[in-house]
Amino acid sequence: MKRKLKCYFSYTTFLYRALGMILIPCVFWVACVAMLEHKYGGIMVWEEPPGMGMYIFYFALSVYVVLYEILTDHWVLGGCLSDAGRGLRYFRTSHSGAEVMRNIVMVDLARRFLYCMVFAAICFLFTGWETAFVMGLAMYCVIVGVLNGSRHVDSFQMNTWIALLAQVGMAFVNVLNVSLIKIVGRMTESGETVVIACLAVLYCGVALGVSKVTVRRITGRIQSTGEMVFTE
Amino acid sequence: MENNYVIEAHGIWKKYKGFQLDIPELKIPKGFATALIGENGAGKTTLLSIIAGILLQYRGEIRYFDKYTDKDRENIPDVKELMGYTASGSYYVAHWKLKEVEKISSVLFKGFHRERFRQWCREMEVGAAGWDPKQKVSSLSDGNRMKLMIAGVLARDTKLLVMDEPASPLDPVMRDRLCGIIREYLAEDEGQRSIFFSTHNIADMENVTDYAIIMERGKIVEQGFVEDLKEKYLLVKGDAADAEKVRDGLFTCDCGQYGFEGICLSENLDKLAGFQVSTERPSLTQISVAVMKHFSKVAKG
Repeated sequence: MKRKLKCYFSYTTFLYRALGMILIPCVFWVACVAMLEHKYGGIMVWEEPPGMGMYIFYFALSVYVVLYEILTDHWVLGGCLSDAGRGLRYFRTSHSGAEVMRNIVMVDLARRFLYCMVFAAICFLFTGWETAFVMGLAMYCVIVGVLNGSRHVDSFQMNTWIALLAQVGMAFVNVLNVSLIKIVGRMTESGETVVIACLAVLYCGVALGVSKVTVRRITGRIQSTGEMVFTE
Repeated sequence: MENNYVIEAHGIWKKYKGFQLDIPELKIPKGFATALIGENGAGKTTLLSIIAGILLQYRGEIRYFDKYTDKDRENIPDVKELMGYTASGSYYVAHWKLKEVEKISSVLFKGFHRERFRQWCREMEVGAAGWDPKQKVSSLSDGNRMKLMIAGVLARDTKLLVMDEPASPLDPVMRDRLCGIIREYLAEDEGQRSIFFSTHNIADMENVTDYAIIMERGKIVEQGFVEDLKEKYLLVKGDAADAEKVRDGLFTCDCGQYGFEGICLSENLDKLAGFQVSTERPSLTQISVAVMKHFSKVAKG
């Protein structure tokens, strides 16, 4: 684990660690707590049980998290799957290049998963809203899924467009999740809990799948499976 | 019995659209600086990338240090630890700072010495301050990025340097320094270290080149120790009036208003008997240009 973290911290820049890993997520988390902490005079006052206001808040939060996660990735692994293969050529010159890159990607994925789950946990702690975990898992799947595509693009401008489209995608996933939970929940005897559990299992599977694909694709570029075409 | 080649390759074949690299045999002598010379698109970068393990899809076999195969290169750490590679463009991520280059290099290579890296950066004046850990790779000029890559490989304990166009982005003073660095590198572990580099700046690198390989359209068309090549070829000069008559006996011929100058194979010198010609020992640049012209489509128009 120590080696994995060493690889990750050697690869990421101080600016990214300060902004992308600490400052921006903290702002989101603090905002999250401030808005949900209704018992002690939080900014928003929620209906009991959580209703439309809660959904709107969580939708807005999740789409902004998707935006920042995809945009800040430009300073970590952005463009690493593009033809220019930013930095991957240097990793190929070392025997441990693939292992180091695998470590970097795995810690990066773990970090993203942890951050999404922190959002979900904050929401759950303050509202008892179980759907928050489904939303957190969905958020992770959308972020990692989109990053698999956006890492083929080297330009920051293009990545911004991709991040904006991903926001729309995240909003759609949110609507789909809530609709499923509400509609199917009403149709079954056991109610929303079973639907939430099923969705959580589904998203866990998808999260595992996209994570595996991410690790394989990036390390594959360094190992024999990937052919690199370099444009200077 | 110990072999005298640091790299031995057989049947190297790689095809791109409109280009084919086909090298039946390649032998890089151990303990020397070998220059890879050729026109743009001759296949120099492709060959160096294959040897360095950057391009992995090719046919053929490569043997490193008379010990390891190209499969070992991917499976055993030793080969890549012993081999330093510098690319023609920078392979460092543009937004990395010098301290990040140092950190990631020490993670990637066991034999990377941080202090030696800083020393080389200072000595080669990478960037304005020599060693400024906060300087970004993107803010460095092409020449300084090349110096940074050279500092990166020199900071490691290697036995072979594979360098793609190291001299091209460098200024004349730094090119001279690079020749000095190459000599120092080879001298340090006498006979055990080798350098294989590609270059267009033959004249600048000539005094450091021991062995030369000339490529044309994906094939090796000439190779040998520089001293042997200088024995093999002769620089011939004569009157313009004789130019057409001697052309058949020459490898290449450039005719001007007052006379002609050409390169001739020493074994064909008797074909020039009876003509008023003078012969000189050619430089590597003259030999290389002549060989490239002889095989080139571009030179023939």
